[in-house]
Amino acid sequence: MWARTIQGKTLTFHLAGIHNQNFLMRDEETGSFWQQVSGECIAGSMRGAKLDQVHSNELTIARFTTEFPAGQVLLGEPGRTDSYERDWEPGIDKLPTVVDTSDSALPPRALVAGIAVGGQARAYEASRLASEPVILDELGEVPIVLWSGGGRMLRVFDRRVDGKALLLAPADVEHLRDAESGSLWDFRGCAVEGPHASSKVCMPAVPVLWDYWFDWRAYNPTTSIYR
Amino acid sequence: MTSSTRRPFVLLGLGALLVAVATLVTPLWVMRPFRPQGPTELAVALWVLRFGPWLLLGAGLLAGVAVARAWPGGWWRRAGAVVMLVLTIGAGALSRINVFEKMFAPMPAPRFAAAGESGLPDDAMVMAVRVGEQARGYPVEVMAYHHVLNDYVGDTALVVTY
Repeated sequence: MWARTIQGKTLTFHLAGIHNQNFLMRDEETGSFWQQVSGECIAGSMRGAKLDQVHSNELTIARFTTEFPAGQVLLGEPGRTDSYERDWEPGIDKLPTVVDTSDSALPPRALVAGIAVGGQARAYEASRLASEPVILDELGEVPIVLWSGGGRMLRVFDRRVDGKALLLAPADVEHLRDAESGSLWDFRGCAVEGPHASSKVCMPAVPVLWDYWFDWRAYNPTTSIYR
Repeated sequence: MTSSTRRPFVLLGLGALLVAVATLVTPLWVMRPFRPQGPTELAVALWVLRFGPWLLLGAGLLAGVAVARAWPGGWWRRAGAVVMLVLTIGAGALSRINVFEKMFAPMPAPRFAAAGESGLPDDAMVMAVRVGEQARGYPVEVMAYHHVLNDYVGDTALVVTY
């Protein structure tokens, strides 16, 4: 998700092309072409510009409603409900890929959560996140916590508070507890009980990109894989 | 009428048709699915898309000149030149269609509702974004079809992509 106001212009984007199984967008205002996955302009008068990312999460409707009771949900177009599929991923998994990943440890269509922070990139396999829902890791000297809420509901936080890294572990289904202060943290990354709750601390969120391994690696060639 | 005056109109007409067909075919051929796009061929395809209108204008003028040249030469030549002009215009018109938006229709006027009124089950996934006090969820099943959505959340102009 990207902010579409850049260099004082608000752009209107259209689907306009394919680049190695990623879509390209074109803006009406300048006619430039933009890489959907990176927000980067690759051709036209805005070439070299990069859209600012807007933080977003994949959440279930249930979680969305809990966190944002007044939140609004986009409605599908009435005439197109036949085109909307809830279980399209098994079909996509069978499609061929065009980027060679044979020299790496994962198959091209392995679903990964990609994280790029502190100048480093790392891929976390979906299957690994399912079996290990809370992962403490460090990437480019940034201590992070990955918290999987099931399926593709994943949040990642920079787990430093006042410059110190929290050691977080599951307390119950809804909360993590940090070893040092004993505070409870909820899925938004905010302290809800204990010393940190009184100062209303929330950990800063880190962007996650769910992607196929071949694609994540194409845009993050130096990525490591979480083992 | 000598062959030296016949040839220019045929060449002009074919040249015009070739430019229009190349303008139509190049981006479609390079950016067809399930194949890799090399940096050079992609740059060429995007160049053709960007400067397509000028290429087509040139092709149209060329085809027009061919008709003018063929006109004094009799009915057969006139017909031949006009056919090339019509084909040139036809290929040019087809190249102005955005096939990607034909496959995946855009959503120019998105509508929203409260989560409870959206008709989606509790476990359906949305891409959630919060801007200030406003939160919006874009169902993955809808975005996986439309792929691109221009929206405003509060005063912030966003493009939602999937």
